[in-house]
Amino acid sequence: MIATAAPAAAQDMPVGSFKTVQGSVSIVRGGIEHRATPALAVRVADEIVTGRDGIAGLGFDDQTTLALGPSSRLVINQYVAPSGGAAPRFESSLSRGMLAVTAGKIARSSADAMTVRTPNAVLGVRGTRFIVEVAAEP
Amino acid sequence: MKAASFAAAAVVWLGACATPPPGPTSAALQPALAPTIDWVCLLPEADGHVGRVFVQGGDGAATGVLEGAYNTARVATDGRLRFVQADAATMERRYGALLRALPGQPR
Repeated sequence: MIATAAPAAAQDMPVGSFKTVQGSVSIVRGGIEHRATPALAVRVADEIVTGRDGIAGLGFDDQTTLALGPSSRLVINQYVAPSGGAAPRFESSLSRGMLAVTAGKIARSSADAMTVRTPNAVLGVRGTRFIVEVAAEP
Repeated sequence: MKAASFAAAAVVWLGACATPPPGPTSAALQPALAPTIDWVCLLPEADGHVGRVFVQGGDGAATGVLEGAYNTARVATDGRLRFVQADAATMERRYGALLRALPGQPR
């Protein structure tokens, strides 16, 4: 599990939820794996894992939407809502698989407010749609 | 030279498009530190607007910016970046199901 800088109280707050779930999709929270279902809340430090047949659509409070493809792993490292006092921030890590993103309010707030980390790169997002894939090296 | 490099990377990209996503039954079974090739492709929004994605190789030494529709970056384990130009048809072939899973997208 990737550590997060968010305080414990913030981690308890839902920041988004599953909108659609197809096939095998689970969420690892506090070291315990739960089966994902539509409307299940997503919190900071959650790890979302899809199986080979799994695909999930998620929506976040700032109107960011994500789709996680098969055989993927994504951690929500940090999420600071635009309405809070602190600078907005949305950081996630894709360690395997594929991810599509339509960025919401956080990514439009500043150049470095939304980042996606992959094993080899850090992506800074400025208000847009994009796809990331982490594939095994041939 | 640059065009040749792009063309070679595009061949790798299109080759990857022809194969199903790698991996065993569960992603959890895959070794976390296995070498990977990371790709990022910038897409136009529904209204045609295109934003930006800043790409930084793992060690921070290599950086680049995607700012045109279907601009694509490939980042290898050594952190080096290569840029290719993809297109809508390639994205649909490879990622159509994923894009349709984005909440709020037409099915």
